[in-house]
Amino acid sequence: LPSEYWDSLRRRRFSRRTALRGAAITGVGAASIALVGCGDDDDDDDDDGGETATATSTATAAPATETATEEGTGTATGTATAEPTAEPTEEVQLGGIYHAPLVGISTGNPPTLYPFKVSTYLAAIPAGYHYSRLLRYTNIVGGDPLDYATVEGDAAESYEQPDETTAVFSMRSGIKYHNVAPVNGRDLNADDVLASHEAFLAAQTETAGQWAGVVQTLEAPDEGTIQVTLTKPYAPFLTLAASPEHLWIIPTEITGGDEATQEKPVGSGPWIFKEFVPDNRIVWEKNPEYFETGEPYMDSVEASLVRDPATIIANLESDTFDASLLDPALFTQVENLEGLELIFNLNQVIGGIFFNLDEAPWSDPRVRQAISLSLDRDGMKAALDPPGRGKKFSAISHLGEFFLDPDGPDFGENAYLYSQDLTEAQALLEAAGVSELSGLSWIYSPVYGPVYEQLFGICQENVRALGFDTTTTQIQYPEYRTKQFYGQFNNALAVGPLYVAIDPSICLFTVYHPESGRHNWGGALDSANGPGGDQEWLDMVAASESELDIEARVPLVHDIQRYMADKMWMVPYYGSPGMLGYKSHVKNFNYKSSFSFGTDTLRKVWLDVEA
Amino acid sequence: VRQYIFRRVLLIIPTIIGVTILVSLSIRLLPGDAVDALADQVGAGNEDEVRAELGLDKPWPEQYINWLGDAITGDLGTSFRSGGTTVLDELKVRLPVTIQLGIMALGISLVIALPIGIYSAIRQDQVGDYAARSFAIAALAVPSFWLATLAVIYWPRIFGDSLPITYHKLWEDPWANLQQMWVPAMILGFAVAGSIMRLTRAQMLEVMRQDYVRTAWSKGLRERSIVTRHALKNALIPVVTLIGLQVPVLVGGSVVLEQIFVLPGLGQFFIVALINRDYPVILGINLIIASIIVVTNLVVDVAYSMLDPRIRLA
Repeated sequence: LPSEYWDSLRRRRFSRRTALRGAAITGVGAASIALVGCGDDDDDDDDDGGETATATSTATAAPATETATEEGTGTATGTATAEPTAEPTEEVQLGGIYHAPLVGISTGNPPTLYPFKVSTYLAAIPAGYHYSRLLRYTNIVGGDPLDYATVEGDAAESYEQPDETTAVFSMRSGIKYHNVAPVNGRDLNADDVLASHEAFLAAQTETAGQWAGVVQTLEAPDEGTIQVTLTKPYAPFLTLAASPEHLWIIPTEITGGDEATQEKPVGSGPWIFKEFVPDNRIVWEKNPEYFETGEPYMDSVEASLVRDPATIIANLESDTFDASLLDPALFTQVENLEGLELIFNLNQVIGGIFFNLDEAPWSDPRVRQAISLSLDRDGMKAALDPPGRGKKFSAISHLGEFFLDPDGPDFGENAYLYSQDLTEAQALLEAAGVSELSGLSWIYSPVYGPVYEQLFGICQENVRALGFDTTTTQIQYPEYRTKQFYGQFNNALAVGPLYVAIDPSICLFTVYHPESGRHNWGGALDSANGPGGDQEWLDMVAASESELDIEARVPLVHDIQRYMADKMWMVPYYGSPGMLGYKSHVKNFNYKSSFSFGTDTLRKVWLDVEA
Repeated sequence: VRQYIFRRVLLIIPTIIGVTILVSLSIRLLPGDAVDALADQVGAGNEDEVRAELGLDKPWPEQYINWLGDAITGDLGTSFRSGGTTVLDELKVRLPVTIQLGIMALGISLVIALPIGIYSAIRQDQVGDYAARSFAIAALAVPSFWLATLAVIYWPRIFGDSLPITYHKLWEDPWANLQQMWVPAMILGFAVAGSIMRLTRAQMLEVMRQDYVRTAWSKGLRERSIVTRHALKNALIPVVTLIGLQVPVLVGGSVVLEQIFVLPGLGQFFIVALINRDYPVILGINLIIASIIVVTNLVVDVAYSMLDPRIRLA
């Protein structure tokens, strides 16, 4: 049953969190750990956010208790929040301004503040501050920053899956939009959800196409209920519903407004949009009417649109910034910064070397395997991951228990393909009848920044060791995104990140499936050389995404990774970890690596302004 | 003079049109077009429709003439990327930032370069001259981005607080604005000061060897009087030309500094527009920059006649 799937998954996640508590997130003190799960705050309603006002918090739940509460529901439904059951050990301080780069060194101007318009993190991340979704990712202390399967109600109070292709969301009552024109603080209603859904689909973006492939209809049988009918049994549907790249709930005044109206967001999320100064900052203020009573704790958020690493580090050093995403390549520059706590998470952005699979010699899997054998992933780790917190990728990125580590004991006979072995690589090339090749292009886009360029350079040097003489060909993003990214190139190898994965099935479908909007591997969609022509693989993927029992789904996904090691349609490089630094005065910082950071993480963060 | 200015103003028009034609043509030689850059907003198979919507399906001359016609009426079009904001609105917000940075940098460079250049000339081959020349070489050789990075890194280590990065408009909060602007202006001004200082020195040395200056010395005038009242005015004429030529340098230099100091000027806007093939923005910015440069050159030429009556503009 679908409910068993989610209950089972939830139980597994919480038990693992308990084990990781106090270890995974090194900088969070025991006192602030106990604050996780804050759902209510009796006294802070009267507080307008004075900078050092202190709330007598009575609404905190320790993780273990929260586990019990969530498991205790034991039904097909998911609930909005855990009930408070534990006394706090530290008082939440209200107020203060949270100041940090919007993203980190990958910051840029949002191309739009209307998230349906464009599929990009720069549009999704701001939306995560001011808009709500049906569901959101559950975020507790010690939780896995890459756990996207554990979800909870956001605008929906609860949800259930009465059968394999139906999901029913019971909406919270009395959710108010921000008191800003043209919406002026009215209640969120089912019409907004329906209109948002229509607007999302009408935008015809890649993510809308992904959603449309799964969602057959979205209806409102009554004012408080949203019913979704799926096109097929789909295990990661709730993850998709919580995804900040998909269905935001935007008021009809905005979805039905003109372009200028759509660029002035008015939502129901924890933060009220105040201003966007391109190339400088985005500012939000606390939503005093937020439906999670008492949250958010801080007065406002100022997200700087800064991406220069020196500027970011200097502002962390001076406490101007409270936190920032950082690249692990900067580790040695920040590891000794006073009061800076570092959080590491595995890499969710799968990427590697990809090919035109209809072109010789890349059509031969032995050649692709040889390229994988040429990659010095340990060297990449040494060069780009000084803290050594990353891992090799398999065919997917590091998605919790779904990920099968090539260096682990269970990968099987093809694990050797992920370790450098030039002798074996040459033997494979010889067997494939391939000797030295010259005049090849080594294609990538510089848009991903200097650290990625360094990674691409290491890969290029490794491949050259096979006798493949490649010339660097940088392609500007506009062309790259529409041609090379889709495998449209000849006499060349391409390299780059491909997808920010939140679920293995979504990842496998998006990156490799012929029905996906993108197919980074080149060649015909149904080419016998590619995944589109491999019926066995197509069946495996279909089976894994429709398997609603987590216990059964994990091994299916593992089998796919073992199978794909042999095929090597894309040769993955090393996955450097994500690294985030936050200052010690920032409390309750339970990081979720999500585009909806503003809601999932920041609504519960508070500042020790007296520190 | 009026006739000269009138003729030069008339010449500005074909100059600017020529610049925009060149820019418009050259950006179309780059691989990928604006619709490719909008791939994340354009559904598969909708490319032609979007191309028509943006007017990119028409022949280039027609596109250019349409743009020019609109530009003459003050309509520089709408950015393909910025959510419906017009190019003019963007420029209204960003241009003052870049202009302020440029003016401050130019002012700082003159304050640094002129006294040092003069001092260096009148104390030729003395310790002060060597120091001043070393300073000029350093100003020319040290990249602005390196100085900027040093400033950003070491400022908090020395003074505790980092340099401000929250931008405030000059007319809304002048103090906060100047707190953020003065360091990048100093760095940009330092870079420009090198060449101005060297030219000032060279010109001063040349003028100081002129007969009329020698006569002034022989009449027993004081050094200050000779330098400031007789030599400097003539020495500054080529320097004024050089100052006029610094405008593109200041605009170019501001691109990197705006990024490091998080200033919402034209620089970043232009770079992103280039990457996105955002034709209206690229053309709009080039139109403005070209206009500033040709107007500056005109002002410099007119200033010539005021500094040196021997120069006949007509």
